[in-house]
Amino acid sequence: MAAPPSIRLQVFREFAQVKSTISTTLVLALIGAGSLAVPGHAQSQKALIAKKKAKLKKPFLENAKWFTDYDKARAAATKSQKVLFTYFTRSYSP
Amino acid sequence: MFLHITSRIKSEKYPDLLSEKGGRGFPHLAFMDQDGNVLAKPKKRSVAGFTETLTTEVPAFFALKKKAVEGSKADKAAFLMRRFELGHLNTDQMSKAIGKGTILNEKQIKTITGKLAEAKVTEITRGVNFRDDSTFGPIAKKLRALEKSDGLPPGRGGLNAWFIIMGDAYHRKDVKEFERALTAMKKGGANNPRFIKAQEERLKELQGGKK
Repeated sequence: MAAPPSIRLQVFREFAQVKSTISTTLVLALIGAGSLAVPGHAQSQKALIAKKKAKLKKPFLENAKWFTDYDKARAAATKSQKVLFTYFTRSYSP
Repeated sequence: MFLHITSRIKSEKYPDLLSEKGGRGFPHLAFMDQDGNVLAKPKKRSVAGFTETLTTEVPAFFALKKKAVEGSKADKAAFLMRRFELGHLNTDQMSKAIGKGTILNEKQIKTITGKLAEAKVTEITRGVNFRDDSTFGPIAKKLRALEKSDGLPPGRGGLNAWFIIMGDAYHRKDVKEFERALTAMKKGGANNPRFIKAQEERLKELQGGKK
C-alpha cells in the first residue's frame, strides 16, 4: 500500500528532523539517575494532551488519511486486503 | 496508513506499540500485516528505500510464507526464523520453537537461544518508566527470578535489567543488592561518569543509613 509521493516525502522530511532514540531515553534516564524520583521532571497530562493535539495538526498528517486507532487500522487493512504502512512518532517531545 | 503517536498520556490504548513492534527510536516506519505483524522495515530513510522495501521485502515475506505452507521442513524452518527476526514470536513461542521436536537446525537453534534472555528482559520491562525507580518493585522481582533461572543477558537488555534491580534495591535500602547491581552495570559497560558518580553517592547514602 504505497502512499502518494508527496506524502512520502513529507514523512521522510520529518524523519530527518527527529533523531532521538529509545536507547537515548535510557541513557538520559541513567544520566539523571540521581534524581530519578523527582516528580518535577514529569509533564502534566494536560500538557501531554495539548502536545498530541498539536502533533495531529501537522500538515503532513492532514494531507492524507491516516488511521490513528490501531484496531480500526487493522480492521480497514483486513477489509481492503492490504498491508499497513505504519509510521511511529511521538508527541511528548519535539 | 496507520499513525501511532507515543504520547505518554495515561489513558492511551497501546502506549508501548513501538517497542512491541521492535522499534527503538522515533520516527520509525514499518509495514505490517492485518494482524499487526511486522513484515518489513525500510532500511533506508528515503523514498527509494521505502519503495524498495514495499516492492521486494514485503512480497518476499509472503513468498516465504507460501513456501512454508507447501514446502519442506527446511522451508518451514526458514519461515519460522524470518518470523523470529521480525519479532513475531514471544518468549514462549521462542522456547517452543527450540524445544522438543524442533524443526530448526543447530545454527538456527543457537540464534534463538542467544536472544531468548534478552527477549525475556524486554517482555518483563515493557512499559516501565525508567525515570521512576519507585515503581520498579514488581519488575525487579521478575528480573531477579530470571537471573536465577536463565541468567541476565549481556548488552542493553542486561543493563536495563540491572538498572531496575538497582533502583528497587535503593528503595528497599538493600545495600548488598544495590552494590551487586552497580558492579554488574559497570562490568556490563555502564561508564557514564555522571551516572556512576550519582549511583556511588546513593550507595554511600545507603551504607550510612541516611536515606
